[in-house]
Amino acid sequence: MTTPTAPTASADRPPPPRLALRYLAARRGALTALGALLLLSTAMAVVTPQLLRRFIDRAAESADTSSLASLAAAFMALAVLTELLLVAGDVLAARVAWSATNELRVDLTRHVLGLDLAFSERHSGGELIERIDGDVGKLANFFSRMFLLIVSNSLLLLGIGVALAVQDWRVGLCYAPLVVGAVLLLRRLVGGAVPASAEHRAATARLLGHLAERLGGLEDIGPNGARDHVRRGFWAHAARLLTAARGSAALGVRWPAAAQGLASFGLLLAVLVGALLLVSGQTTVGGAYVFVAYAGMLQMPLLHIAHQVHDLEEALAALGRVGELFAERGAVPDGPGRLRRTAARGMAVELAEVSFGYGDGAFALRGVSLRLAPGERLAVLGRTGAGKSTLTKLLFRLADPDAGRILFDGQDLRGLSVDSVRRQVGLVTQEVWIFHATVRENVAVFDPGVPDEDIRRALCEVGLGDWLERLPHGLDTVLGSGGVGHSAGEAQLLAFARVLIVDPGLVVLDEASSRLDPAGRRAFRAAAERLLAGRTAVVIAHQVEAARTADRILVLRDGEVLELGRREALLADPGSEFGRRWRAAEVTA
Amino acid sequence: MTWHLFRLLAGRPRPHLLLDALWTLLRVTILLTGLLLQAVFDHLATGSQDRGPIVLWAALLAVNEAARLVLWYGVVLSRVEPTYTYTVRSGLQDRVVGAVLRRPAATALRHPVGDVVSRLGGDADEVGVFAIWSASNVARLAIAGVAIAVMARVDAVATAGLVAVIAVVTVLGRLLNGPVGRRREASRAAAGEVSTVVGEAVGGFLALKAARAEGRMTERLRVASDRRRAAAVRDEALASAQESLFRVTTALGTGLVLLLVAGRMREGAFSVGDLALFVFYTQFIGEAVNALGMLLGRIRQAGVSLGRLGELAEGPGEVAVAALVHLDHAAPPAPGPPRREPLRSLSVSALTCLHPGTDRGVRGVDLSVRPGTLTVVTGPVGAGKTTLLRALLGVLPAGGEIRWNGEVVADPGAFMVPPRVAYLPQVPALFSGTLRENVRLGVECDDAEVLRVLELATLGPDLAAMPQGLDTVVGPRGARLSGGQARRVALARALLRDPELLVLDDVSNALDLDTERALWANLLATARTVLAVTHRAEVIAAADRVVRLEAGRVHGVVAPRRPNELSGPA
Repeated sequence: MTTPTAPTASADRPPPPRLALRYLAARRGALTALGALLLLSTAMAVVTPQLLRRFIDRAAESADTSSLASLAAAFMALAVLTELLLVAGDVLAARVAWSATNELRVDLTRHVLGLDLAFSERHSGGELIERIDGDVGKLANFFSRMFLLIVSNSLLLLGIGVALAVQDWRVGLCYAPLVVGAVLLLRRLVGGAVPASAEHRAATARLLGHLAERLGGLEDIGPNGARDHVRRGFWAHAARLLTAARGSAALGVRWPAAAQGLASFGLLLAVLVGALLLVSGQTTVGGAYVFVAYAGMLQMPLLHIAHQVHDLEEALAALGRVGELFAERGAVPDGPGRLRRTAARGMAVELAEVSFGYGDGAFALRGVSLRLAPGERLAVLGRTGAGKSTLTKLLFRLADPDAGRILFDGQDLRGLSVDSVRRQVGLVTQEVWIFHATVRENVAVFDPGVPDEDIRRALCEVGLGDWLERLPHGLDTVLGSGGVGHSAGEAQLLAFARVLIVDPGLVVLDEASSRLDPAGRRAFRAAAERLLAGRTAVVIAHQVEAARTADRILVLRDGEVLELGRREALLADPGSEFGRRWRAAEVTA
Repeated sequence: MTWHLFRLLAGRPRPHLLLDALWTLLRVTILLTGLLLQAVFDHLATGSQDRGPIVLWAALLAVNEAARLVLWYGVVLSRVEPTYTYTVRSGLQDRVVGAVLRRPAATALRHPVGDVVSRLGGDADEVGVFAIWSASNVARLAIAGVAIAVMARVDAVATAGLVAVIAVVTVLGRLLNGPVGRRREASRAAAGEVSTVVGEAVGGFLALKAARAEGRMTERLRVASDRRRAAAVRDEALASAQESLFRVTTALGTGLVLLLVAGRMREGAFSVGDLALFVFYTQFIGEAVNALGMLLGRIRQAGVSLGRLGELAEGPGEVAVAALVHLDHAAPPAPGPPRREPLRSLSVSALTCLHPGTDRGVRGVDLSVRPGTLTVVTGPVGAGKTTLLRALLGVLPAGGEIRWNGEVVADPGAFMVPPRVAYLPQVPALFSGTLRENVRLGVECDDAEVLRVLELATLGPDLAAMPQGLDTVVGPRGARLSGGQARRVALARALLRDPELLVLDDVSNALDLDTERALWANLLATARTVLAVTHRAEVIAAADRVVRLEAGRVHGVVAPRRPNELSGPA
């Protein structure tokens, strides 16, 4: 009996806010400056109406025109200065946001690239792109806009409260619960409008989907007399869309209506309170006017906060998803040693009783043992699911065996750093990824230290010399989507060139030629000969043809060794499965 | 195009006028709030201890604000505007769809389906939004004019100064539109670069590992991200400056008013109430000037959208009409199908239909179909068999003459419909919905009838295996059915119409031999008259007349006539 348990990954997953803080903490200086800017601009926004008050009161006292004029000038200067500070704050916030999220995105990408193959097989490419690009992108918005708007508008509301309390503490006391209540109410209403607007969008999509399908089937519609039916169908959808639009509008106006209502209520309250205090001699006309001015300043911050809090919740969800990705761990731990090649003619490879499974209880490989001397060539044959690709993964150390050992030049891979192992293994798979980058970058895989001469030589050696000649910009020609096209065969040869550049001690070809046409296969064979010369090689294929130049043959069935031996020996053995298949292929060839 | 835009709106004046009136009323309440504030502060400034007027003004203020709230959110935004905008939108969409349906089906769409649908969505939306935007802003401009008049009566100089400042700052703000747009573009391009690198990091996972290039790829992402940061910060900085400019307009206007009235205020010629009025109106006038600046652009944009919709039909004149809409009640059925009249003769002479820009198609085809017979069209691939059927049915525009019961058919597309004909195209289309809906496609009948034609189309065994029966959902474009099933559903659709002439383009496609034999037996036993494209020798042998096409011309007509061989023992 097994009970479902929470994945262990969740244990060390940082909570979203702490993850955000980690990236913000490094920008303490900029954030402090930003905070100061916000405080200052808020203070100025709150002070500005006080100038109006003074202006009105001075005018009532018949002060001289020049002092009134200087107050007016100060009012304008303060307003302009406030805006300048706000713009400066925006710029600063944008810098912080982008540098923090850039760092997060780079860290996340480094982390994902460090995970093992099992991870990349569990998650679709689209899903990972959505995490690294989409979710992190939402965070940029969160750090720059949301964060700034929430903080600055909260400060503004607070500042207005302080100003009111300074003028009359009773007014300040009433203000606080009103504002907090207003924010809570608006937040609810903003959230409440979401399902209706989603339904509105869905109804729009249904109407357009209906039209798209019918417009794609016009030939069926006319001669079968369904034109009127299509139009009636359109009107039925249009009527439902209008209902959805009305429903969405009815719910969607609630929050702006509430905000407007609150503003109107605030204005009314300001007029009454101002008049009351004035009549009882506790304030001046200017003082009464300031209440009205502050009431007019309330609506925008209330709306901004309500909206941004809603977006904030979504951003935190995105942050949570990013955190989950960070909590993923690779399965291949680094060992302390570094793999060193002892022979110039390739590496010795040994598998001792190697078993491996994918955690579902079944073995993908079981008790496989073999030895390859430096420079020897092994062909691995077997049907789909026989364990051939698993062998590749273990040799390239994308995973470690569950049991048994793999040794290169006598050193157990577990004791070595993953990087030093992969340095000595040239892996060529069936699907070659061509980067949207120059030929130079594609061959050197972005290593700027590789001289152009080496790249040219490698391309010539694998038979891409003529191809390179024909490219419009030589090594600077951009390949990949939107760039110069290439055939599957050329991509495969380019992958060989990548391996040649690195000069590894062991080459693994995993079904590398299976997608090529006959002409591509001929070029492939010639290039493979040059690539494999002087190296230990493991050639994996389900076609027996791959064994043509092999010294040793391994036939796998259901993860176990069916046959293993020197090619000639197996061919001489009338009971050999390999021999049988070889002869069958010879007959048809 | 502007002319068509106004013609469209003027064609249905009532909702627009209603909305004009409502927005005007709504903005009058804004004027009133300003006037009430003026009255309150003028009263307060007198130093009078009388609270009576204050209470009255406050009560009026409350009523006025409540009225605006109800009008704005309870009536205009939630009811009147959605109804009006969707009336305009659906009307445009219906005109376009109607025009498309009237044309020969195979050439009806002059743009890819995706583009047509995007225009039906986006461009109709643009025009629909313009309808309500224009109503709102006509009222805004009118009431702003009144507000300016009210202010000018108080102080003409300060009013002129205020409007001038607002106008200048608004023009400055609009001048920034170009740079703002360019920086937005640069920022988007830089974002695209980052997405590309992320896509490559994920897609090239194994290749990067194989080359131990994880670190170098990460570095590449860092470089692209840095470039994007620079572009994004520039973009956001300028956008923020533009927003700020719009915000500061009100403050600058207010400050200027203070400067200009300082002297008169000291003398008591400009009251505190007047100041309250000016400050309150400043923002409103700023919004109006901003709307005025957008007016021409909005008209042009809506006109372009109307033109793009016109391209889908026979020009903007055809779509810019206030057509009947059916949003609050089901659309009434169109005039019923033509009266059934038995087919006595169908003759085609000199039918020519060439694909534009090529010499492929059919030319000079003569053909006659007698009632109660099976006529087969055959010939090699590319001979023009499908084109012949399409031209006959008006699916493709064609030259030549078609006579039905001796009468010349002027518009084959409109004439060749049930109960005269029904048609199974070479690549039939099913639509999202149930099996029942796909067979009926608008024909009123009971399930027994639907089951009968599905049985005739040899879909009985398939149907028995579907637990939902006729309610089985076929998926988008019938994707949940196999190709052979979809063909037979489309065939059942044609059979349900019990046509005088059944036109079939390659029934055999995607069917096994036994099913096809059973199907033909059913067809010959029940259909009145059949015109079919087929390669199947048995069917050809059973035909009353075989028309062989080669390279678009008739290459002989034969009458093998071995009756009833396919329909089995009678």
